[in-house]
Parts: sequence; C-alpha cells; structure tokens
Amino acid sequence: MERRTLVDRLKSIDSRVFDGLLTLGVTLFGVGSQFVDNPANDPSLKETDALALLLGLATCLPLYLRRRQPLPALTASAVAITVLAVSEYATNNLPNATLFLAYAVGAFAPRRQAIVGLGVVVLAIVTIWLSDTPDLDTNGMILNIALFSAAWLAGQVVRARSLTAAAQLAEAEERAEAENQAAARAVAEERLRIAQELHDVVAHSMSVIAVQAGMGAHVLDSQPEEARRALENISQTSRTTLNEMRRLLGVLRDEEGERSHAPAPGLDEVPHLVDDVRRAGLPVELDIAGPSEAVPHGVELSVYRLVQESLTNIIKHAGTASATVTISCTPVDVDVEVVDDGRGAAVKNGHGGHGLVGMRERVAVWGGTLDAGPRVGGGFRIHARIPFGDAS
Amino acid sequence: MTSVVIADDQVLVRSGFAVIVGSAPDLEVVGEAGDGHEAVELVRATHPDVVLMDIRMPELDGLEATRQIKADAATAGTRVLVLTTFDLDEYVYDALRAGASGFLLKDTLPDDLLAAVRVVAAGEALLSPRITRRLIEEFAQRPDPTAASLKPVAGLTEREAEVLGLVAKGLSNAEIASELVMSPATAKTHVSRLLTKLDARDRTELVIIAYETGVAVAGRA
Repeated sequence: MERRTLVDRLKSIDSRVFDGLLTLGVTLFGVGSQFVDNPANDPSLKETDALALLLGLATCLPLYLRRRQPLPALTASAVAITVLAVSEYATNNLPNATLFLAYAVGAFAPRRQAIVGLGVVVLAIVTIWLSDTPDLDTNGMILNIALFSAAWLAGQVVRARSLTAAAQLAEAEERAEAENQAAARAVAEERLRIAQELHDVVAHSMSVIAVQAGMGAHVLDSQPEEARRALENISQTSRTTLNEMRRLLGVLRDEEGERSHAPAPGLDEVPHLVDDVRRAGLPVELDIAGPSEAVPHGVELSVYRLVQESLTNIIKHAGTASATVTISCTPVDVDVEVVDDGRGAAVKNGHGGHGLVGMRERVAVWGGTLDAGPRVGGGFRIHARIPFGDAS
Repeated sequence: MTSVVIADDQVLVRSGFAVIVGSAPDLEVVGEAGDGHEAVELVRATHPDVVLMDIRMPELDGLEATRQIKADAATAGTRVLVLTTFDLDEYVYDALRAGASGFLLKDTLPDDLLAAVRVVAAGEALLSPRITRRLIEEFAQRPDPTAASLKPVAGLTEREAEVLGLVAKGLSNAEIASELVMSPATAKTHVSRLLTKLDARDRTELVIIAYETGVAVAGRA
C-alpha cells in the first residue's frame, strides 16, 4: 500500500471542500426555495412548516457524503424527498440535491451499488407519482426518470474513463519496474563477469611473477643471465596485467559514473587494445578493413573479445613472438584472424583450453565458425567468421 | 641424480621452475610439458623420479594426468607433486586421493620447492601439517557409517588406531613417539604396519583414510 503523497492529501482536502461548498449551495438553493415559494403556487399543497424544513434538510445534506457513501446518501435523500412529496408539501428546488446524488452514485459507487441506486431513484419517482400529488404528473414523472437516468449515466461514463486511466497507469508502472529490474540484473551479471575475469587475470599473473621473482633471486649469482631474464619477464607480465585491469576497471567505472549505456568495447576499441598489447612487449600488426557501420554491437563485442583473448594467450604461451590481427567487414559478416609465430601450441587438437571454449561459444551464438590450430611454419592461428546478414 | 619433469600451461611458470630445479646439483630437468597429455607422454618416455604437476591445464588437467600416471604400472613409480595457486582447492584434494604425494603453492620459495622435490623423491609423503591437513579436512567425505568404509579400520589394534589418529593430525614419527610414550622405532613400525594393513601408498593416504572413516574428525584440533 503506497503512502498517500502530499498531492493525494491536498486532493482529498480539495474534494471535501468542494463537496462541502456544493452541499451548502444546493441546501441554500433547495431549502431557500421552501421559504420563497411559501405558500406554494398550487394552493392544494401545504405550507412549509418545521417538518417540511426538516425533510428539506434531509434531502440536501446527504450530498456532502456523495463521494464516500454515495448510495446511503442517495437513499436518504430519495426517502426524504419522497416523504416530503407524498405528504403534499412542495418540493421546489429540493430534487436538485437528489439529482446530484444520482450522478454521484453513477460516478463513485461500485457497479452493483450504482444499479441499486438507479433503482432507488426510479422507485422514489414512481412512488411520488402514484401518490397523486399535484407536484408530479405523468409527464413530469417520465421527464424526471429520464433526467435522473441521464445524470446517473453521466456518472457512469466519467467513472469508466477514470478507471481505464488508472489501470493503464498501473500497467505502465509495472512495465517500467520490470525493465528496471532486467537492466539491473544485466548490469550485475556483467559486473560479476568482470570480477571473475579480474580474478583470473590477477591470480595467473601473480603466480608468474612469484615464480620468476623467486627464480631470479635464487640464481642471481650463479646464473645472472637467467636472473636478468626473470626481471624482464616480471616487467612485461606486470605491465600486461595492469593494462588488463585498467581495461576491466575502466568498464566498471563507466557503469557507476554515468547512465549505463552498455560500455561494451567494439571495433573502434580494437586499435587501443592492440596498442596496450604492444606496450606490454608483443609486436602486433593490425589491419581492419571494410564497412563497419552495419556490424551489430553484439558482434563487435564478440570480435573484440576474440582478439583480446587470442592476444592474451599469445603473451602467456608463445614466448617471444609477434602477432598479426586481420579484421575484414562485409555487409553480411565479419572475418577475424589472429596469427602468431611464437613457439607455443598450448592446444593440441583445437578443442581444449578455457579461452578457446569461451571463443567458440561467443562465435556459436551468432551461428559463426571458428578454426584454431597450429600453423605449418610454427605458431598458432585463430580464424573466425561471424555472419549477421538479414535473417530471411 | 634425481630426474624431474615440469608440467604447467604457463611458459613463464614452467621455465621459472626449470631454472630453479636445474640450479640444484642433485636435480635434473628431463622435460617440460604444457598440458596434461604432454605430461603423461613425457613421463612414459622418460620415467622421471618426480613430476611437478600444475593442477589446472588445458586439454587434460593435472588431476586426470595424475590419475593416468599412477594407474599405469609402468609409470606408477613416478612421484607427483601438485602445483596450485590456491591451497584450498577441491581438485588438489582429488589429486591427493588419486595418488599425488603432496602439493605445493606456486609461490613457494625456491629452497622450499627443492626440499619438497627431494622429500617426495625419497618416497616420503609431503604433509605440511597445517595446510595439507586443512585441505583434507575440508574435502574429505563425511564418514559413512556403513560397513564398507569402516572395514579397513576395523582390523586395527587399539594402538594402531591411536597412531593413525595422530598421523591424521600431521604429527611426525618422532612427535607420535613422544606423544604416546614409545620409542621412535616403535612409532615407525606402527606407521609401516598401518600402511600395509590399510593398503596405503603413503602417509597422505593414511590421513585421507583417517578422515573418511571417521577416525579423525574435521574441526577437532
């Protein structure tokens, strides 16, 4: 249950004030007419006396409860004016109050009560007509039934409209909430993925650094050349790791800082990635060709991750090497190739390797193909083709 | 001269260990492997005394490679020393059950690494009390009160059961001797009998059996 907002509170004060003023006006108008037309035009009607006034008030005052208790109010008013008319008093302007209440029952009462209310009104009119008072003849009866029904119908129309509006508002709010939750979940999943990547990266590189540092210190005097190489390896490894962390944490910061607009890297970020890799000590040639505008964001991200994973593997496994990255875009697919000439072939038959499995999955999602295997002259080659043409 | 094979999927880790092991006058690196398959093939070809086996490798992981090496009569004599980044690791525990003689953290200091290689090469089990015991405590199955698992322990004498409990706590023979007020020779005999009666490869397997049959219970200091 939502707290009532200030606006809601103001609106309810507003409506009570309105109802109060309306009641006041209608009462003055109605009861006032009992004094003004006194004695009535028709001499067969009785003069206004205390009872008549009381009944007059009883007809008008229930109007104040038009919103909160429309049916009881209408019933009270209808009974009062029926008694008044049947007792051969003049009704003058008093029926206006009941008319307002007929509208109120149509507008504010739930369906069943509204129908009952209409019945009450018709019953009252017919009863008055049957009592043979000169105040209401047959024509008058028909006219009044039509009039009161119209007021009731008007109330129903207004009610229907406001109900639809309320329902639509609730639906829209629900939808917005569901979207927010889905977005939040996607962000959380991405952050978890980033955290896991970060964890893997750090764990692996710290192992390398620990081993190399331990080795270097151990053989510093006996094999200074090995010690020197150890220091160089540590330098390269820590640099690469820091860059990887910067990349991952850069993504994290974007999400926190600004509206998350999927900070996923794409083809534009590949040159930047390659620069980082070069700075980490691996020479890389990069060639991107073809129109890239048609490539969907998701495919761009997959290409980026593929290149990233391949280069990372080369750094980790291929010893001294150089690499070449070739990306070609056509209107219907993207071709990605990463080759190196190092001495590593950490994967035998092209299936294993955690990184490769991830690459295959990324490519398979788009219905693409991935080949990975050692090259004839040494080194390793990863080649993927990701289609994205119009689904026909 | 003790021969060693080094298996790790990261080049720099592999070569780092190779330099360390190669720097010792009594140790010799006879091969390097980049994944589990290569490791098994290399062990079959060179029959080294010790294999330093990284647990997480592509293609075939260190756990499976250990199983294969220990299951094959031709290579079962090779001691396996598992390398890991994290000490509480279920894979490592499984490797111990599969026959590894012990495990080492990858950031172990070079001198400690060399000492460990020598210990397992000599046929001893590497059982650093604190860490290995925690590992076994963490992953040993809850003792199953059905007959099958209790059977092996049922045939032990009371004294032998006591000794088994202390072995599970990580005590050395000398410590067991002083704890139970017996001579070190007697303690050693009890341990040997335990190895025979329980058909255990080494001390490590004794500890595992102790936890899995409920002789030792996790959490009790």
